[in-house]
Amino acid sequence: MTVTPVTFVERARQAVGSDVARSNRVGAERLAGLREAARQAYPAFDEMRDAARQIRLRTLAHLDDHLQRFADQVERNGGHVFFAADGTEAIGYIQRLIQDRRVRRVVKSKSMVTEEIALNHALEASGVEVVETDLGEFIIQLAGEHPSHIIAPAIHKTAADVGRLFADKLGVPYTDDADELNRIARAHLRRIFLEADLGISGVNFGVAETGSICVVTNEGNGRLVTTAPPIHVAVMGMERVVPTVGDLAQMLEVLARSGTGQGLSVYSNIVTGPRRVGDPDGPDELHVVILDNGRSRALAADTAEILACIRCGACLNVCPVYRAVGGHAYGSVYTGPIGAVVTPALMGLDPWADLPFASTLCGACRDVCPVRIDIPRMLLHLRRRAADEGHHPFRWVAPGLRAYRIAATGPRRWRTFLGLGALAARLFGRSGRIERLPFHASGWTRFRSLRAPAKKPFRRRWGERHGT
Amino acid sequence: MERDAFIARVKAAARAARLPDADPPGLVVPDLPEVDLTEAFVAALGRVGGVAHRDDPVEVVLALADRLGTSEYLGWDDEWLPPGVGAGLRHGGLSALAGDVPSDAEGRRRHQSGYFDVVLGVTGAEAGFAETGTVVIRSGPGRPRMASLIPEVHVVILAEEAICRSLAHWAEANAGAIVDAANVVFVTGPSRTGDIEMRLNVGVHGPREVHVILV
Amino acid sequence: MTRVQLFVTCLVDGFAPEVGTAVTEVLERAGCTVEFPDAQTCCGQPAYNAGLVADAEAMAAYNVEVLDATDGPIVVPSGSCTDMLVHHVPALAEGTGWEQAARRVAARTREFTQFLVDDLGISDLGVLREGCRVVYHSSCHGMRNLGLGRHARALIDSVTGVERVEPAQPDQCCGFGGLFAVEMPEVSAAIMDAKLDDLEATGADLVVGGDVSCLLHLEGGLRRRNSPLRVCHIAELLATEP
Repeated sequence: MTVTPVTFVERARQAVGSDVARSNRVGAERLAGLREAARQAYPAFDEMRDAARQIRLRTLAHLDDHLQRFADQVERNGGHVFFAADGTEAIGYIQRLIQDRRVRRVVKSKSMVTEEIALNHALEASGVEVVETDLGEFIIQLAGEHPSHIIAPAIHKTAADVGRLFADKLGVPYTDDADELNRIARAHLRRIFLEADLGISGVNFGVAETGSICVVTNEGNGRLVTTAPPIHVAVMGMERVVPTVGDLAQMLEVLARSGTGQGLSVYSNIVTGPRRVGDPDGPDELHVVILDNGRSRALAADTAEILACIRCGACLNVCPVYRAVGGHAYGSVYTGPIGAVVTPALMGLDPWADLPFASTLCGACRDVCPVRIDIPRMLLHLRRRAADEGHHPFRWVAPGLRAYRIAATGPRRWRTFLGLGALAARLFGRSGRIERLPFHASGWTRFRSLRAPAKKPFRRRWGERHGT
Repeated sequence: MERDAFIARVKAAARAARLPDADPPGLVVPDLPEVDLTEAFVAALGRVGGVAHRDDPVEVVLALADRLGTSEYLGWDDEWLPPGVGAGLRHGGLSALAGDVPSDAEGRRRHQSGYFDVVLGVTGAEAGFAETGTVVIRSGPGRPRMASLIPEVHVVILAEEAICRSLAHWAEANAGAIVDAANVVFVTGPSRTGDIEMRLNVGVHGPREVHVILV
Repeated sequence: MTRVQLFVTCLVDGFAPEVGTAVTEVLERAGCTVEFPDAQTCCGQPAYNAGLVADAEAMAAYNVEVLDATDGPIVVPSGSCTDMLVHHVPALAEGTGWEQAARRVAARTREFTQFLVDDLGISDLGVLREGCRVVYHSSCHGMRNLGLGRHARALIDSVTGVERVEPAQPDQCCGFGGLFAVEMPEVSAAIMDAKLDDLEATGADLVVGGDVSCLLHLEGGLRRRNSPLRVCHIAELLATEP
């Protein structure tokens, strides 16, 4: 049994150069290219991103009002609303419902928020069968793994991997033909959909003015999960609400283009209450579970803007760190740039303090975000908090930089400091380069040679040139 | 947590939030180049793997049924399809499956298990988006959700004059109508996934083929 | 004659003094009188990026005081240090006694290529080089926060004898990231490798950039690969004195 290393640094060290990381990189680069093509093909796109940002920020500023209106409307439509302070409460509500309705089998469509609270694990522990129906999620559920990408969870698995998995777990003959694998999955899951007792979905967007929930998928499992079973439970992160249907349209215009370059995902499914009198099909019951689980904590802090995220995955696709290490290195359901902020923002810096440092602050994420979230700014906020609250992941940085600050706040001290560099060059440099630095600094020289500090720093050259 | 306590905590957080300023939002209805809406819709539908038809709806459906080797379909009631279509399909030898799902759980399971082998679905649509090749399908009395979802082949009969420029254009005029039904779905081509090695595959859970008959 | 103040940056001062000399020579050829307020040290960016705001404030305040005692444009041969002085330092100074000084300094601060092209209107210094294929590395902070890139490309294109090529992914980071390079070295090196592969694939002889931080990192990686690809700061390309 492998023990998952605790820190990002350790996980990343293992991940760099691995097959998973390589697959993540290929997938990410492709999706980034598709997004760029979509952006160039749709001149209104950038203007729509500005509008989408305004919608999300204004919603967050009055989130309590919008949630109240949303809940009132859901109930007016005949649905039930449960407010869950955390994962335990959400799970408790769903388990009580399951017991009460004698549910044995649950189908799920992809929902990051349910993974955040480890819902499947809790339900399975109480004897309920839970089947993930998003093909990528179905694959990793069979494999017993976590997703490695927000929208392409099995991006790290080859067709051969999947073939072996299906042969092993579903008892079908091995094949590595992707078409055949899809057919196998379709037949297997279809039977389960049509006979399931309860369907659980996430919510891409809740609409406050109508109490509608919108579930977006390409596969159609989001529709089957919310149509076939008699009971539909929708779990919604409390920040995923927008005020009006017009706002929903605005968000849909930027969501798929940002994530995969599609104009719209195949299915944008808008549900407004359970089935009505006279409706031939659809669930008889709708339950919406609204989850806080750290979101109010994130909202009250300098990380509020991160709650504008619509989970498109665009930031992952352009991030040099994500491309180098893949999703699993982040150690949490949320990966990439968004994960580096959201995980510590929701769950605290203990033990997630190294995630905000897993970045070069290059800003590529901010460039592609459909709601223009300033992720680098929030990473800096979290780094500051880590330092102030005693969670700084790197032991030598604080004393090292304090010494540096002392050197850099006095002209004579600075000259002395440069002189030390020149001395180091004379002692350790060979032909103007240093190939091995001691102790912690060896992190540099393990992969790079270092130019030796100048024997004559710039200020001395200036002084000589100008006779000072 | 009790609703009031939950909301109070959110309210306190929202007041304390350090958020950048935001302007009042308004739906951006893009200034897109003038196009022939039908032509643009057909092209966009093709790009997402759907097929457009301009022939007689009954003939198209009967031809598909023949190809599929089926004499049944799951679809909208006659009154919700263009006049004569329902009768024409029956005349051509197709029978419409019952789309009414019982409200007891066991009855539901029994009825829907029968959908496992349904290969043909026929619905209308209330609008199309030229920019993306999308159709808007509203469910309700006489219009089962499953008809556009469970069959391998989904046929949509769409009036040409219901095609508008894009989602944003449609939403500007029609957003309010969302609440008139328990379910409205925007369908953009056949069901797809890239989840195995990022290779596109159609018909994973939803229909493998989408045919839009323009009338 | 425009009188300018040179804020040479800690890395140039300590590791690449020839860049400072080149910057001075280019500015003088462009018609400026260059002054060097020699009490200057480091803008505080390393501490700021590490979350150590008090240390960053101390360094920033010190250098703001040094620079505020001078006049004229402040020219900086680094996109990231310019970004720090222009955007982050005034925010650090907000509500303190040195806020106004920080704003004054920020308003006067320009990155080197930005100053030449936008302020002086010069994008051709009449430089001649023997046949050389150059690839420009656009450092992230300058590119995204200051809009840098077109200035350097125009200056490079004006050099007779130089052919400029673009990598397949010009906007991707080099992987330096400050202390990140030492604290997460495997990740930093993996990003660097992807970047170096891209740069080498262009067939260029020379990588030209505007930030010595990125250049030291890339050069270090190239040396380990025994690559013939060389690295220099744009000022060195434009200077005529060796």
